[in-house]
Amino acid sequence: MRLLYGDLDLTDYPYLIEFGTDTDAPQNVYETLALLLQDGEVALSSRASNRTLQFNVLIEGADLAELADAEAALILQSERPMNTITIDPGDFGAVGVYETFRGQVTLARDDNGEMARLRRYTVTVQALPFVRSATETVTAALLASGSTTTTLDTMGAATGWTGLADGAAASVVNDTGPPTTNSVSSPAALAAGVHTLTLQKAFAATTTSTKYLTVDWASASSGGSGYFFNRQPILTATGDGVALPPVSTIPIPGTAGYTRSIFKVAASSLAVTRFDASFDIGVRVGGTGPTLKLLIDNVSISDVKPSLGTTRQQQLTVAVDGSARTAGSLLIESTGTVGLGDVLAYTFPSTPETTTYSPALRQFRTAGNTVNSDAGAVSGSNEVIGLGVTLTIPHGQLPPGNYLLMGRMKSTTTTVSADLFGPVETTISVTTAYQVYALGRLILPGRDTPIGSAATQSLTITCNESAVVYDEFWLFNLDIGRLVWVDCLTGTSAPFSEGAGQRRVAIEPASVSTPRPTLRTGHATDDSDLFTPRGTTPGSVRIRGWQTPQFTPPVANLFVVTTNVGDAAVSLRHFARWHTNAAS
Amino acid sequence: MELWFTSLDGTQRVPGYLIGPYGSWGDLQVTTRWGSGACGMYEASWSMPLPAGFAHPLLRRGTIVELMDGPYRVGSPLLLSEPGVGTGFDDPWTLTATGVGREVEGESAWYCDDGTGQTTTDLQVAVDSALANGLPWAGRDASVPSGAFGNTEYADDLRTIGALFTDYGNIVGKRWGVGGDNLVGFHSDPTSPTYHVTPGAVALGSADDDYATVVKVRYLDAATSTLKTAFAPASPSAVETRFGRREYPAPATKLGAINTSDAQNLADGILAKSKGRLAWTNSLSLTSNELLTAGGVPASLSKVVEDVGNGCMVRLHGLFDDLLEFTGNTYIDVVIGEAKWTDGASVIDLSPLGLAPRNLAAVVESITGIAAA
Repeated sequence: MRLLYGDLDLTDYPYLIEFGTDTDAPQNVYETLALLLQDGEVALSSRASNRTLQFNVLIEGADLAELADAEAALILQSERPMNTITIDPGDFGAVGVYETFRGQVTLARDDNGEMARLRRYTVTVQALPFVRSATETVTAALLASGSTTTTLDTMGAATGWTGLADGAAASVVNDTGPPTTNSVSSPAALAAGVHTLTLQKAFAATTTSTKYLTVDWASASSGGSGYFFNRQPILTATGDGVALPPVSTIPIPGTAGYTRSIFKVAASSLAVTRFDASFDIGVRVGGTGPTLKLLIDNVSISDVKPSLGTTRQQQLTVAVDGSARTAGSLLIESTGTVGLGDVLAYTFPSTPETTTYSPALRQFRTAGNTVNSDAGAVSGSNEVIGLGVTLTIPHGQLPPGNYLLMGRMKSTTTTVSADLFGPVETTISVTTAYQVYALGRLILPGRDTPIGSAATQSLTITCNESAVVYDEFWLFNLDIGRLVWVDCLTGTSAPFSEGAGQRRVAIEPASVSTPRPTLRTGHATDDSDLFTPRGTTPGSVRIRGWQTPQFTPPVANLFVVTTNVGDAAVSLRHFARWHTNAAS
Repeated sequence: MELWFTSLDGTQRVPGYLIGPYGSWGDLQVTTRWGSGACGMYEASWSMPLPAGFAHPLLRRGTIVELMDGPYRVGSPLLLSEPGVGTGFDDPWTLTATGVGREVEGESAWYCDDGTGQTTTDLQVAVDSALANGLPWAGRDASVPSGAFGNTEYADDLRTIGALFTDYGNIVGKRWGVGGDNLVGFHSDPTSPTYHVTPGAVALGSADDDYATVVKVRYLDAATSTLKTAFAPASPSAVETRFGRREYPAPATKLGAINTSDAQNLADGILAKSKGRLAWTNSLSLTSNELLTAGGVPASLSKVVEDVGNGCMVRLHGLFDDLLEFTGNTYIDVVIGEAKWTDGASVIDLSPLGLAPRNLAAVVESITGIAAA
């Protein structure tokens, strides 16, 4: 093992680390609440407190003067208000870095030691709870969007498909629907627990540029009684034995009940493709389990980046390395020449409850007025609100919590003061240019239903001014996710110009070196001209909402809107965080 | 929630993340109220770790503070009081901000002014004159009526805008406050519950402090120029039959000459808003598992705090209504008078309207009538 305190190697002459290093552990902070349990309490914990490292350092030297010099070098490191202790465990273990604060060093003075020119110190130092990796991870920004989509299978027949139910062979059934699907079913009366249904086929696809594997799928249950779902079903994909990272999961407009899952294929070709749907069911006493079914409607590969409406609205998942929560730097940028416009960046954790949650609402529109194509809209369309636009959202796509309803609207005639009614009531001033508005908060869904319920939430928004059209509405769950809204303007992007457009946004968390969160916009690709935007007129603030993003491994969800620019590149820079031993 | 600071002249609006070397704050406690006096955002207090000798132009009395949930402001803005300066990072600054609606009530507040320095009993004129003098509201909504009521010629002292609003509110049976849109307006008490508390979660004790079943208003009748008494209710209520009769005096001669219907409305309003029932002796501490929406979904406590400031009724299941023999209800509906919540906490403290004062601060407030001056 090598241990460095700052840049001082304590495992090299004249220092020695004695056996018995105590790396302590992150101290979880608990809040115990009896709630309504008859016995026991619920121990809630949402954060961890610092750990305290303690290790013993021996210093040897030719004379006492050398010992004093070595002590001084050690104290220079321990006195720093912020420092690092790097441990390289050897034996192919990864280097882990503790972020430390001012340390306490105590000399255990011993006359024999003085005569032998050997001094023993105990170093006690507080550090941030989680160890980080030595180097930052940058998730590769998704490729720029192309326009090629190759359909691999529309499920006209079951040719080439094999099915498995919990690893045992199961027949693949082709159905003309609509939609035409291939499906595999489990045996009847399944026992409680986790079950996996698999559909697999060997394609011969070239994926040098078309990296996004898209599958439209659904799950169904039949028969049985007295059973329930412990979580939503999860679909994973494997290409030629390699797990394909998920990129996006969005509901499919027009095909009720089906979900579009998109995976990234790193290799340049794709042959054996396997889709596994994992279910977790429980069965009550006296009940019988169901028959579960996995249906696939369409499989294609594409270089079109996943988006909702237009590429100005993207929903992405990003892999977060490590085993503990980390704060990441989010970078949203465009390679074009104009500002990003209004940027909404919403981050939320990936849990079974959020796998199909999508904040954009036009995809849930079921009734309203005439929908017109609009090149200035992030959803691609506009529509008069008027006497009502109805949105119908399945409960499975609405994790319970406090939602902020936002909208992007404009007037087709002149500036009007418009009253909006429905889920929230508010009055807004609408101009002839599209603007983004925060409309109000509401707790959704309106009814408590169990997991797997077929219930839907219906929202009807009305407006008293017939000239007001909407581009898109959004529902952001602020209990589970964090939202940033910054106006990067729409003019030509230029460095350090407050009134111009800005084509890059960097959102950084508080860190030990910069102990407060930062939100900056810029122009140059090397981050040399980032600044915090203020606005050119007194009182006009370009940062409209700021909640620091949070990223929980293994996967975090990002929903990004850039109203003026399509296909913005989104990347996440973070240190992987670990309990004690870094794994990479 | 996030703190945002705006200079009083509106030229600078800065998120709390950009104040001080750490841009952080702690123990953000929010209180909203619905009751006598200004309703809505009542107070927010928090601490900020700042280095010794730190100073910032926005951390001074008069700065507008907004509690934001992302881009959405929760409740009305607040006005910062002069901070309690700390001595260093281990002795953080303590800051308190009071809701802008409270600016017009209490001692040394804003007094009714018709724009020329004379008093007025015209609500719209009083508000507009205060706005012109820099009151940090966005305006008044359509529920604020025009025209004078009461007679300033016989009024014997300067009255605050808050007292005028409270008096008018008593006459029309409504409460007033500055809402999330920063407009002042009158609103009725809610009549149906927004939230439900699961049975077994709470218990409510009752007391007969301030118990009264009849309100008597002594006023100067404008039509006959004689002193008269209006009283409400006209006949004994179910509460009086059950618990006995007590009478509460509400002199209204300060308003000058008013007409009979206004005097009767005043008696009805005072009875409806604060008399005619037993008081409560304890507040409720609830988590989001015990406080549910009407659809059974756990409430978000940040939304509950906001809703209490706009008038919120909560149905407590499993408790017997005091008038069980008259109504047969196995629940009690209470309007919440105060909500107190620390940002991020899993417990919220709700005090029902009509909570009898049991601690020193509440007793002092009830005697001095700070909220109603």
